[in-house]
Amino acid sequence: MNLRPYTLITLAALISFALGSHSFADVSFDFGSSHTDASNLLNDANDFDDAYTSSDASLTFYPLSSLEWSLKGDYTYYKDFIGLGNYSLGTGMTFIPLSADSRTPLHFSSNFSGRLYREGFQDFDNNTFDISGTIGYNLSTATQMRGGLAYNSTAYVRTESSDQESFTIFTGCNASFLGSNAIDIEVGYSFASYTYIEPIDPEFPILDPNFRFVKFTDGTLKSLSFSPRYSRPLGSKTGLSVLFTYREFFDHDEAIVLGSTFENLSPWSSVWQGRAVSLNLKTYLVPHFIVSGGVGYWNKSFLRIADLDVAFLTQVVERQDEQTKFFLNIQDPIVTGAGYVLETTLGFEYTNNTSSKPLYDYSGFNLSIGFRVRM
Amino acid sequence: MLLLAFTTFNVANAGDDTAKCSCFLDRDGDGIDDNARDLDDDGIPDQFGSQNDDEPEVDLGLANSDVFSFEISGEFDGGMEGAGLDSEASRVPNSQKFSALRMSSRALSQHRSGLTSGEDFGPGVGALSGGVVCEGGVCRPR
Repeated sequence: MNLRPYTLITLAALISFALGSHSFADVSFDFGSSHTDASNLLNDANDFDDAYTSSDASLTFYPLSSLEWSLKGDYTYYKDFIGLGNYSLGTGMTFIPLSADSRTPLHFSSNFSGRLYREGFQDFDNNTFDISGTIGYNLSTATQMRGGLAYNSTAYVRTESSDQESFTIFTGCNASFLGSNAIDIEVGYSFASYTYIEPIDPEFPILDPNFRFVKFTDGTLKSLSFSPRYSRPLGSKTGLSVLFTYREFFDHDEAIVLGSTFENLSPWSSVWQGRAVSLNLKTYLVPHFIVSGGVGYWNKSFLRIADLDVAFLTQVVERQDEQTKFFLNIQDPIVTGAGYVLETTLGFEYTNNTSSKPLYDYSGFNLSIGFRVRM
Repeated sequence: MLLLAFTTFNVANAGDDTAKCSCFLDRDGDGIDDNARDLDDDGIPDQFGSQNDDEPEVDLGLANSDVFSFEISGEFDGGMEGAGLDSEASRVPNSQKFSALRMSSRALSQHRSGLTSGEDFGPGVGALSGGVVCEGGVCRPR
């Protein structure tokens, strides 16, 4: 496990803690646990149902009123797919140095975590490190521009070929207009290092005598995304939001990644370009409850995927999916006399996916109940 | 070093404030006015039936200062009062001030670009933030 990000984040937190030691520093604790019944755990045509229980806890320090430093961990247990069980430990910092009323608000955050899986799935063991910085500029009281940078990395402990590293630059604008209407537009450009297969003949990728690809190539996956969002209240206690997302890859036509029939399923097999639109509602109509729900549609094109057919011959397929999702979430937060927040949450999610690849023709639902305490 | 750099930047920008907006603002895109007060931090704006309706309002001082974050001299109370805050505001713990800051900077913390944009959908909020999301045979933490 690479400890360097841990060291940097911890050192920065200790320095800031020392600087702010005379202020009203305090600590908060958060614990949550949830249970989910999934009718299609892996979201494919095999329809494996399973149930899992996930618990997480975090200890958060506030050495300065502008700084949050967290230590966090989580554990997930699967009833049938026991090997998919995993736990993680991590740390994160968020630094917001200026007031929201400042002309140029700033936001910085970084997170590092290590995740370990149970026996049989240890190839998934990974370390993730994310860092981002955003600066805003308030053009007026109701209009804010923003721009920022983000770096994300996932390093697999046992299989370097699946490592992911991406860098994103983005800019956006949030504005209110004509009373209670708000629009938020964001444009982003990302580039990521990835490993793919570059075949001489696209229909017959090169295999060695052990049926392993020999023509792995390191490349850069570039993408441009555009995402406008419109939101407004519906009545006095309900909010409506409509979000559109468009993403397109560049210079990727020849790239092939490994599908699920090979030992090392490429994490890039789930990366997509295309369009998505979703509508979300959030309401406080039921006293003391937060009810939210939404429906979404995705039209996805994936990188070309190499898989083995029933005769163990390699096939390269173009995967195109259409997906619809629906969810309903009910939260019941209770504030105790001591100021603790106890929250019970009930969630339902339904997904229907049609794909040019039969393995990914599926539908399924998740039913979840959870409990969280913040103190 | 990073903190000191930002401190310098902050001081240089003191007094650069924009006026506080009483108009509709929705930086997090939930369709609810961000100006709605939520003193008990339960996620329900006080005007929609908070359980702490009767609590007196505590001024966090956010509207009066953009430099409350830096008490590097170690003289926290004096620094706060010098920034225009009363003694009540100076007794507010850092977590509450940070919570207010986080609420007000939501547009900066939730960028939607990158290779996973368009995937933040579903009930992964509240107590249901654990578990995994599987897509195309690849599972990742929610």
